[in-house]
Amino acid sequence: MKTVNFKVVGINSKMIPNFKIDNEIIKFKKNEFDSYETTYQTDKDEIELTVSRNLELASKFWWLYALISFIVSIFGIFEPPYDKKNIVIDCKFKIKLNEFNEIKLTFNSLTTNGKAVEINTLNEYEEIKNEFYVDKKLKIRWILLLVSKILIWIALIIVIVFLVKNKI
Amino acid sequence: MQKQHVPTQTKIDLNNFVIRLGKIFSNISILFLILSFCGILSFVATAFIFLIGFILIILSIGTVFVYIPNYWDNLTNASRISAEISSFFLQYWYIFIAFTILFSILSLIFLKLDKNNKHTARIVISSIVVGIAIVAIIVILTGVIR
Repeated sequence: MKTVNFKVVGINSKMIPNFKIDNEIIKFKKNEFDSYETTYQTDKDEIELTVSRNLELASKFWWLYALISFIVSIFGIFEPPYDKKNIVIDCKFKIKLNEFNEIKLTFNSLTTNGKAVEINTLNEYEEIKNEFYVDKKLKIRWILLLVSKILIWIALIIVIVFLVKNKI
Repeated sequence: MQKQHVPTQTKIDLNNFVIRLGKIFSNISILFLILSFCGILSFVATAFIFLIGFILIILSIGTVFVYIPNYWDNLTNASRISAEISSFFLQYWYIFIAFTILFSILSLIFLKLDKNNKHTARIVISSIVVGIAIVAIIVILTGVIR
């Protein structure tokens, strides 16, 4: 059984990515130094580590969820905002394992594009993907949502003014 | 080592949506808590309007009646409107407090469903809202305030 000690630094509560080892979600625990740690055990000689970010607007039914949220939150008044930047993390590493392994992942600050993670380990590894990028599709969805909300609010104000005027 | 069963993308999306609903309900519960206390607040506002009005009379040694001939009518009208608002909120107090508890409990349930992230701040806020609402109900039901 091989043991891998993972340490992750440079992430905050606003940007907590998903970590998967061989398509299995791995949970990290925050330590006293504001970094995250976990220990993983496996019999394999090589693992595939993927890091991604779950963005709400990337969902298949994003429009349905957005519509329900908008109505439930009283026309968006009490709704938490959607991620405006729509920055995606796309990282994939293949790491060869020894008997005991120390892997430190340092996240760069969230930028519109560039290298996402610096990996620090004595293990042999292959970097397949390692980038931050703005998802244009999600950006368009975000703008579409904003425009729809503004249009609904204008329509709502017109209806209220019409009703009040008619009553008076 | 902490491993989890791999959820499908649909489940992850649904989980995100449920968390969003939890946050919305948490915000709405705060609104209802404010509304449930509006009765008391507007009662205080009525007293405050009268207090300011009387202070103005005393400070101006009554000359305020010369500069504003219908000063007394304005003062009593403002207090009357404030009292009407106060009585409206006091009348529907139980409805507002019931919605406060309902929405904050829903928000707590939804936020607790998230196994990947802890929403400590939100959970604390919703718990405080439930606590205040329950204490307010107990105070009213035990007859400390009528």
